[in-house]
Amino acid sequence: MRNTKKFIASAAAIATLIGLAACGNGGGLSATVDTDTANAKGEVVFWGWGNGIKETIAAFEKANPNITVKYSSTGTGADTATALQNAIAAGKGAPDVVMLEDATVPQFVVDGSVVDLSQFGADKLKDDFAAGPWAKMLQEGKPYALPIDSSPEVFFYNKAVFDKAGVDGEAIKTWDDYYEAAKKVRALGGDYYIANSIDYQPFLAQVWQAGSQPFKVNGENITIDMNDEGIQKYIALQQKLIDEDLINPKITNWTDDWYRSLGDGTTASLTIGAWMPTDLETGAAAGKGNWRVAQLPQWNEGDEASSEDGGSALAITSQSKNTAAAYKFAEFLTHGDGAKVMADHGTFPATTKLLEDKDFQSKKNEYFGGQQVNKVLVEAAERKVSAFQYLPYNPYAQSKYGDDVVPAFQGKKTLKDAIAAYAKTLADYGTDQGYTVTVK
Amino acid sequence: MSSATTASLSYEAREKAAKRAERARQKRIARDEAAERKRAAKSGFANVNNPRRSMLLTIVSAIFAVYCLFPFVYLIINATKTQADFTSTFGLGFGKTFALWDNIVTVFTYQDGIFGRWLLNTLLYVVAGAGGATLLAIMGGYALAKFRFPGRKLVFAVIIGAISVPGIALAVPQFLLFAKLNLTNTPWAMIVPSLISPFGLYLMWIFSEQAVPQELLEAARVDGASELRTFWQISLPLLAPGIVTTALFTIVATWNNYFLPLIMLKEDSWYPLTIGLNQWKDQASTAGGTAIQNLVITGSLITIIPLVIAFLCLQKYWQSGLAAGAVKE
Repeated sequence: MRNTKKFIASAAAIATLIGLAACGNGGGLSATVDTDTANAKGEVVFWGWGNGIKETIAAFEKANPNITVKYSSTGTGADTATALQNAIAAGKGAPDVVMLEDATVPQFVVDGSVVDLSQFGADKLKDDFAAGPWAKMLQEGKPYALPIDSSPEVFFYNKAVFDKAGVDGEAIKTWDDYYEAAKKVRALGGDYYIANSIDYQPFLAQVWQAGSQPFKVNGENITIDMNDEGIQKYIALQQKLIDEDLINPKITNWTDDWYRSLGDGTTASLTIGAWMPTDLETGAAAGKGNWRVAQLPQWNEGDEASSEDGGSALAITSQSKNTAAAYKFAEFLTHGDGAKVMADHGTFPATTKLLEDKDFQSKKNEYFGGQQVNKVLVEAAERKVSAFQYLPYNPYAQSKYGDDVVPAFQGKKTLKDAIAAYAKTLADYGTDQGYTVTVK
Repeated sequence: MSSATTASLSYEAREKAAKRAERARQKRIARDEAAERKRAAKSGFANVNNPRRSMLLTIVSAIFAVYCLFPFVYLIINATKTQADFTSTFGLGFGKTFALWDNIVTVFTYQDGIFGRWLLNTLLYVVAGAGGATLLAIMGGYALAKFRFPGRKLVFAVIIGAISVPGIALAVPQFLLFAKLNLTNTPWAMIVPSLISPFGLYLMWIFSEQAVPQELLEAARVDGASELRTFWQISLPLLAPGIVTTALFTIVATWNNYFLPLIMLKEDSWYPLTIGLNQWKDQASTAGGTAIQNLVITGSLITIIPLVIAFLCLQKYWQSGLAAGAVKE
């Protein structure tokens, strides 16, 4: 889902080859959208990934005996998006319901591959979902997908290492506190760092939290501004951390090394989405009992700014011949009884009903030393998020982040230059794709 | 009693003497061979049965052997670890527990035993795809070598051209074609493209030319054998080393094929092992995913074992196959 190398390998290879064809097709196929969900029946083909899907489908088929769901586990978000692009280019073969990373929803809306869900009355569900994930479903005010999970950016830290370094994780309220903590953790010597070099999605989430709005998309017009106040604050902090050798440039997210360093505590904290607990429990099992979760540090003391990192959603493709049943299933998994099944299998839910559930919130997590993890995550999910948009070519942006920005974390160039170059790369690509791009 | 002891003693003594003599003989041979190599080094003409030794080449070969075996050793070591050990202990050392058997059992039971399904799929693709490719290559290569018909030169040009086009470059057009035929997401999408092996065809062509004497075919025709019978009963046995070589090439290519199923298949019940394992691997890099690297490693080990067995069994044919046709009689 978030592995940048995957993108370079598969998305770049396939998507760029048939990207041209994708522009021509796709649109205009949704003329016959069947919205009669009450009489839905037949088969729904569903592409997705993750835990709990099969159990959710079983529950759905039990509740709706007229509908069968044919599920294909399509790998990560990147793989699924690539496969969907291929099917769109081929003109057939797309599923009825597809799981998408939130950030790739806009790109499929733009080329007409997914249908407007307000036809089914999805716009009325707005208040049932947390604000952060819901905002990412909208294009020009209309929902094109239903959020599966909410993914507020939070702060995970290794209490054992922090204790050794003399840092109180609970007391880290601002990014200045974070910087001071980084120095103390680094003073432990060896390979101890407060963090490793920042990945694409956490990068976006954190500039988002800083109030930056790097991409503004309005139809065919895109404004890329990677020089606003929020991003400048972000660059200043990260550059300071890089210059003083306070973040580990050698470790990249999602590698085996990364998991190892999370397990033994040499990477002592993480700023990442609220879906991380399951990954930590299985990937960094050795860290059991040491980890804790807290709110993301703030730029100004007393603020409660949050942002979203990752997250996934269900959309209905315009190739679907059974949209009514498709919507029924998508609604069940995200909003109906299926959402509870998903939550029971580790999904951090997006519906306010599940988020506010007392049992859910008070659940103690042994991996986190018995902390009531969900309580902290829910608080993060309910915080305010500022407006934010992703590029309609998010996979490309993700693949290029590694080329343009990561070298700055290795000290090969300044972060400011790297991000300026990155903005230019994104603008050039957008222009090539036929958008009118303005760079500020 | 005592005579028996003396007899056995003298028998042992004789055995010892014989061993000593044998050792002395071996030493003498080694000395002679060393002397021969020395002479050869001077004269420049070496006996092929006693080639000159090169320290440098030995070292290079040793390094290459280590390089080739390293991933295999890594797989074996890490297949014995639990997921917790995998992420917490040194990659080339054993973990705190020995979990190989547990891992193997879990690999075959995880997600309702889908790994077994992937293994069967891969076997199906290999038998139908690689088997079919081998058969087509044999028949085509034989026909091109032994029959004269218009357009032979053109076929040759097309084959040489086809060898130089990497399969990956064709995968996307193939996908679009198969989508139009409604064949994506079916085993045909894997089998049909695997049936074509330009390299195998070329190999069989060259091999047939050398291995099947024209006189033998003429004799068979004079005796009244049909072309089909000549092919099956006379030519095919002569082609055996070439067939094994071609089969090994196509089996390995199909077994390891990654890109084609990656874009052709979206239904996990039709995945081959390569795609299935990659999907398991990706669980560790998915938000909210369950990391199962121990199963990925053990699954990979299980995946390469059939190939290793195939190679060990067919190795001698492989060698004679590669050398065949090297010298024109």
